[in-house]
Amino acid sequence: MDLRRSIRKRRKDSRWIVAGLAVLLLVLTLLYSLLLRGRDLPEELVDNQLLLFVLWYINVVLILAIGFTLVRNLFKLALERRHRLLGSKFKTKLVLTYVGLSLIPVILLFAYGSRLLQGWMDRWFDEPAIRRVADHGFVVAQELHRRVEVDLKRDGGHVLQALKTVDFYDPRRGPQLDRILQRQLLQLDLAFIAVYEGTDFVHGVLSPQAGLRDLPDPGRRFLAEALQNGSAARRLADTPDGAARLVMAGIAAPLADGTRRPVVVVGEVLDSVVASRAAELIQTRQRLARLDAQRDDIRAGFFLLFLMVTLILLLAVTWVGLYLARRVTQPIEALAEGTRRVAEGDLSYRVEAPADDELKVLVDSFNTMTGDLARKEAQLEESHQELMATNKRLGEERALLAAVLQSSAAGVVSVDPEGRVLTCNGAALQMLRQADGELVGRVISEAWSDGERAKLAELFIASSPGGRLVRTVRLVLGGEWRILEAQVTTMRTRDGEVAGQVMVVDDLTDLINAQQMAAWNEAARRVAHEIKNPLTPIKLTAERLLRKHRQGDADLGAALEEGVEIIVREVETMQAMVDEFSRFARMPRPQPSEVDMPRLLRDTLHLYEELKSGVEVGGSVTEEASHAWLDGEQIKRVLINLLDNAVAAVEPPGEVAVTVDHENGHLRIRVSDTGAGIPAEARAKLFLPHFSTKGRGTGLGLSIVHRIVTEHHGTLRVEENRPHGTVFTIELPQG
Amino acid sequence: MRPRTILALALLLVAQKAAAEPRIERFQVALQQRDLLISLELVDGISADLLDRIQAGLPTGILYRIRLYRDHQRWLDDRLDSVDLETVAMYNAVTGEYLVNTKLEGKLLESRLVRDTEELVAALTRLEGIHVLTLDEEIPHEWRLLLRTRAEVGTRTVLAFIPQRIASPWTRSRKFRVPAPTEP
Repeated sequence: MDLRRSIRKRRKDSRWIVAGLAVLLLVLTLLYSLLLRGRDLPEELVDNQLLLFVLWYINVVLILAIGFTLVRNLFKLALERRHRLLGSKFKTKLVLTYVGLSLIPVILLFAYGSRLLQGWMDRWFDEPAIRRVADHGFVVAQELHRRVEVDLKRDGGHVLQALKTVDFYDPRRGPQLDRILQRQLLQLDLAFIAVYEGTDFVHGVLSPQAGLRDLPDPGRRFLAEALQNGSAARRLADTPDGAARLVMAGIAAPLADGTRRPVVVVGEVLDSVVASRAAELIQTRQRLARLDAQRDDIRAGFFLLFLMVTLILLLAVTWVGLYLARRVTQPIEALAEGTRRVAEGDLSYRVEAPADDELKVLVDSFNTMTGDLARKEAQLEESHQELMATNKRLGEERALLAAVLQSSAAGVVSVDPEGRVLTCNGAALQMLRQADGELVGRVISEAWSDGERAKLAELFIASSPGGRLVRTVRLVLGGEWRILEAQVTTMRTRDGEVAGQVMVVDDLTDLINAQQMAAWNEAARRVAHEIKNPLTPIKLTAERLLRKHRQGDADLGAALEEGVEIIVREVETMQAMVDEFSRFARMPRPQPSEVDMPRLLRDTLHLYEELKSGVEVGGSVTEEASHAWLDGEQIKRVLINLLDNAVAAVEPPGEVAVTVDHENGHLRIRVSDTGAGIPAEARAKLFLPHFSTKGRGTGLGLSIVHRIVTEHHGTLRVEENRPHGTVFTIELPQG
Repeated sequence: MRPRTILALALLLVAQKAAAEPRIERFQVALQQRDLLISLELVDGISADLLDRIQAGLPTGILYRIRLYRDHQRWLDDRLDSVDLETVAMYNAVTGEYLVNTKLEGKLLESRLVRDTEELVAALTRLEGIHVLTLDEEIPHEWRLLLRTRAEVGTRTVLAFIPQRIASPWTRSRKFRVPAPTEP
């Protein structure tokens, strides 16, 4: 708004200046006109002089205006260029281009016009035919007058000669003088004759045909001239058109001592037509001469006119150039200022530039952009604040999590998708006998490159993306056997992208040791119980036989026979139990070979066909799981142990199913039944030796299953079947 | 602009300047009581162009600017009074006569007719005993006075449009004093 106000004010100032100059021109012109008129100059000359003056004034003002405008703007441009203001170079180029482009044609036009005018004036003024006609006419007219004057002087001489007889001192000379003059008037065909003594009138006669009402007065100066020079001649322009109709000549008598000098004045009236034509010829030639004398003024006038047009064009072009440059550069300058302010962070700044074309679109776009930026910045600030709060909360949560992890008994190790360790808590380091610096930031396969820890590292690779892998691993760390349960889970972002993996490690060594100790205690108790069971009948039988022997009982033989039979049977029971333990202890290492799983399953299930009425035993093997690298006999034993338990647990009607399939590179065997299921408290001790829920048997079946699976580097877990029953799931490496 | 062009323009200006410039000679002041009468002759004042101009019927005049100063020996002179005297000639080609008017401050002093150019030049350029000023009563007789005059004979244009006045240089008269008052 300030800019527009300034421009309006400047325009107003300019109008005042122009008005002031116009008023000054009027005043000066008036003064000059008064001065010229005061000198009694002819109207035509005054007009010419005034026109020249006005043109000169306008040109001087225009020259000064252009000079001022150019110098001022060039100075401003130089200053702007020196201060490297934006748009100054463009403005300079635009102005110079405008002035340069216009200067050449304008100057050419001016030069050509001036030359054309000069040529035209020269041709007109120097036209030989016109000048010759005018000169000849002038000569003829002058000659006409001269001849009339010569004739009149001659006639005057004749009259003077005729007056010789007249005594001018005689007071009665009048009639004689009149007769002589009348006769001479008729003889010489004159208009009038007048006689003077010196400058005093004596007598005169007037021809009635001359058309003169009275004798013309030649004037004292004329008479004096005639007396001084002997003769004088005059043309009297007494007509309205300036034609000299009356021509007179005065002849003075020669100077004689003691006598008065008579002066004869004779006159002739020219024919009006001849006199007019002669006067016209003379005046025409004089007008030509006047124009010739004013040639420089006229040329200057036209020159000034051309110059004025040229200067107006130049001024207009310069002004237009500056105006256009300003129209373009002002919005650019405003945009530059806006850009600077925005760069300084003032997003509330709005560009205001007087433009109504594409530049306005640019300015509006800039303002829109600035507004958007301001809004975005506000949103960004808001987001930043939220982010800061979230970061703070996350930091607190991370610290809490770190504290939880550090205080957790379970070891936690996380890796990124490339396998580089992100975090590792103290429990993990303690379990794995490693220092903090040995793990975080390193690739897990390098950090756990030794043979023992590599078993853990392999689990990261073995874990399927998105899946969950649980393994129990036995490691020798620091010279001790450690049993670790590792659970590998894939971490995902909110978008579902894989962010890495996390491994939770539990050290089960002490727990398993305690369980084994408890198991051995249980085993010892059961062994003692099992051994005690046959020992009691043996002892009772032996005591009975001893008593019969001491009593000398007659049926000692029969009793002995019966007793020995009992003892032998119980000893055989004990022998069988010892053999069972012996076989458990002597179980061989697995000998893997390629196994045809459908056949193995078929052979196994064949043993249970119609074993228990009302119990369906079936199974299936998928195509992917049809071949595996296993110890077939041991796996068959595993299946038999699990199927024995399952069939025993199911009350008719029921079913037992074995499914073999493939998942994540592992062979999965599921044995499910629809029995009563296993209580939760019994599941923990299920795989311990001599643990049995049946109250009979050695309790070694599931222990053997667990051992075989473990020695195949597989896992075994028991779960509740839906709606009832139990599911044993075995996962074995297929290759 | 080329040096040759500049040289040509300079020569043109010098040539214009070197053309016979008008000058005032025999500038004399006569004092009758307190009336100042001047006589002078303007030499080279009537050029051929000026004469052509007169004979073409254009009223042409010579303006004599007359200034009265109090003379100071070591200071600038004080201007006391000024007056303009003009001689204007007009030619009637039909009658072949020149009418010469002499005006003082626009008031007609003398009018005469002359028939040839010699008389015309004399009438325009020779002033004899013309009363131009009357000294103020308050001017003391101790003051040294002088007159300066110059003649302006017209204008010409430089570079086709710049008007330039054609005038003689300022000419100073002899210094004079007002006669001392006589004892009653």
